[in-house]
Amino acid sequence: MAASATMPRRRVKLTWQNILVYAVVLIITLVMLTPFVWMLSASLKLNRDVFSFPIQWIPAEPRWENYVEIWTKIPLALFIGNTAKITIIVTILQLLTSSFAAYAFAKLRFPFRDTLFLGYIATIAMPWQVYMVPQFLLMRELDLNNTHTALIILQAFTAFGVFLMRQFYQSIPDELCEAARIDGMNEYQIWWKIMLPLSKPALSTLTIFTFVNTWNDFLGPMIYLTKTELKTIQIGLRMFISQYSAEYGLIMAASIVSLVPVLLIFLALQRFFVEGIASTGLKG
Amino acid sequence: MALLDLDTATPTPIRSGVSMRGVSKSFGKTRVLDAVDIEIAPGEFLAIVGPSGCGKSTLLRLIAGLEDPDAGELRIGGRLMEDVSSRQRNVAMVFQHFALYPHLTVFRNLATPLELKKLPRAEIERRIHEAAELLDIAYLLNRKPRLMSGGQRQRVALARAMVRNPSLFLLDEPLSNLDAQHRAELRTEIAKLHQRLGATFVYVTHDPAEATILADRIAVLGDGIVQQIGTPEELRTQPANDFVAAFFGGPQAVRHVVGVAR
Repeated sequence: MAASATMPRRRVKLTWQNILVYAVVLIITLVMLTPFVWMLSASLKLNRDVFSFPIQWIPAEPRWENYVEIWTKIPLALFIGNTAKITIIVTILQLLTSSFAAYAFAKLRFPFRDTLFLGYIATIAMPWQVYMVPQFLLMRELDLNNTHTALIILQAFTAFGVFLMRQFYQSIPDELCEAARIDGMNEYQIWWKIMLPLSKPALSTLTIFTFVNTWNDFLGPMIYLTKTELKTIQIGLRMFISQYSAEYGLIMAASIVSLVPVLLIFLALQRFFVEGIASTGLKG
Repeated sequence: MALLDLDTATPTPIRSGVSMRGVSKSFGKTRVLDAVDIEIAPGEFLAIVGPSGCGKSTLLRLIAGLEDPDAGELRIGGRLMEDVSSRQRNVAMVFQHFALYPHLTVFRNLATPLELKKLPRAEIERRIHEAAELLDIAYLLNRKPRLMSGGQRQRVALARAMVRNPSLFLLDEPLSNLDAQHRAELRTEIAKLHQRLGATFVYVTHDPAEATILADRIAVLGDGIVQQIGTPEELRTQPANDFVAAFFGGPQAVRHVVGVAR
């Protein structure tokens, strides 16, 4: 946001209206960055200094030891490993299932296709909190309680992902699929050799959404995972909270660490992400 | 068939005629084609002409197997095409919007249909270079379609159709997205290609002049039926009805029709 506010300065006329717009954008940016900066600052403080007022943005004696202690106080590396495993598998599965289903909904003709799609999309409107208990009972019935498998199969399919991919596939001309069909490809080959390589921007967008969502998921792991060795980082962080006290300095330090992969994924895919928004389509 | 091709240096003309009897097609409640009969001789260049929305593209797509007829029978090379998918028909199609694979180089675009046929590498390269030379696109082989002009793209599309040695070429308004200069060039190229390959060409266009220049025979389609089939000369001098005359005939024919109407 900050970048877009400063970059086109040369071309934009200096009118009151523009100054106002930029001021508002700048304020919003600051407001959004503040909690992050506070987190960074708190991660370098002793527990008792975290909530001192007025806020000391730059600690007088930064406690870098916090970043060492978090690895020994709780099995943080194990939690990160668990989270990474679940997140990576879920993301890959979602990319496959979403693009696969989206191809059928966008490019194949079969009875009740649009009705079926509408029905599937309608499930987005249903909050997870409504059906998480029956879902849990079902998973327990299948003996999947306290396994990563439960979380993985529950998140392997996503109506939102199908919707996103379908919208993108609809911008790919049908002629291309027909040319491929005449060239001798079957539908699976068209999906794999034509649609997937062409949908990098949409796939990147979905990767970012899914990765961030799964990585940051709190409620899911909390419901399904009770054994320490299975926990993900988001519920593992709660181990810094005991009955009478909470290690806020350490929580913030571990939170910063848990943010790094998400940030890296975003930076790595940002190019395609922006490309996806900027590209006007494949025709011409 | 593939075996035969391997042994010869030039594409073997495998010519398939097309026979349509009572072919009908509707989309929803709109009847696009109504009991159409067309016979296309092997090696013939047939143009299908008509105003937009007359079902000429649908007709081509039926032959390609991209749509299924609601009624009637379609034969290619004498073989009934019911339950034969596009992939098995050995037809090639050139599209109005080129339909090249945007993420592949020209070489890979041309190689794709051949790889799917599981031809040996050397044969694939031989055919691609032959087609590239014939259509003057050898210098484009390593480029991607995005960086090419419309004329260049349609040449590549023609080459992609040609490398497979199809028995039947289907062309769906291949020139209508090009500027005048490229259109004239490509028109010549298509005529040359037909002459050289000897395959059957079915060419859809809305431009009577284009059809007259290229085709052996022209089918005029209107209101879902074949209004007339004949050589360009026949259509011009003896239009079967007002529709053909108005659409096709020269100024004389139009004057004649108007005269009759009066």
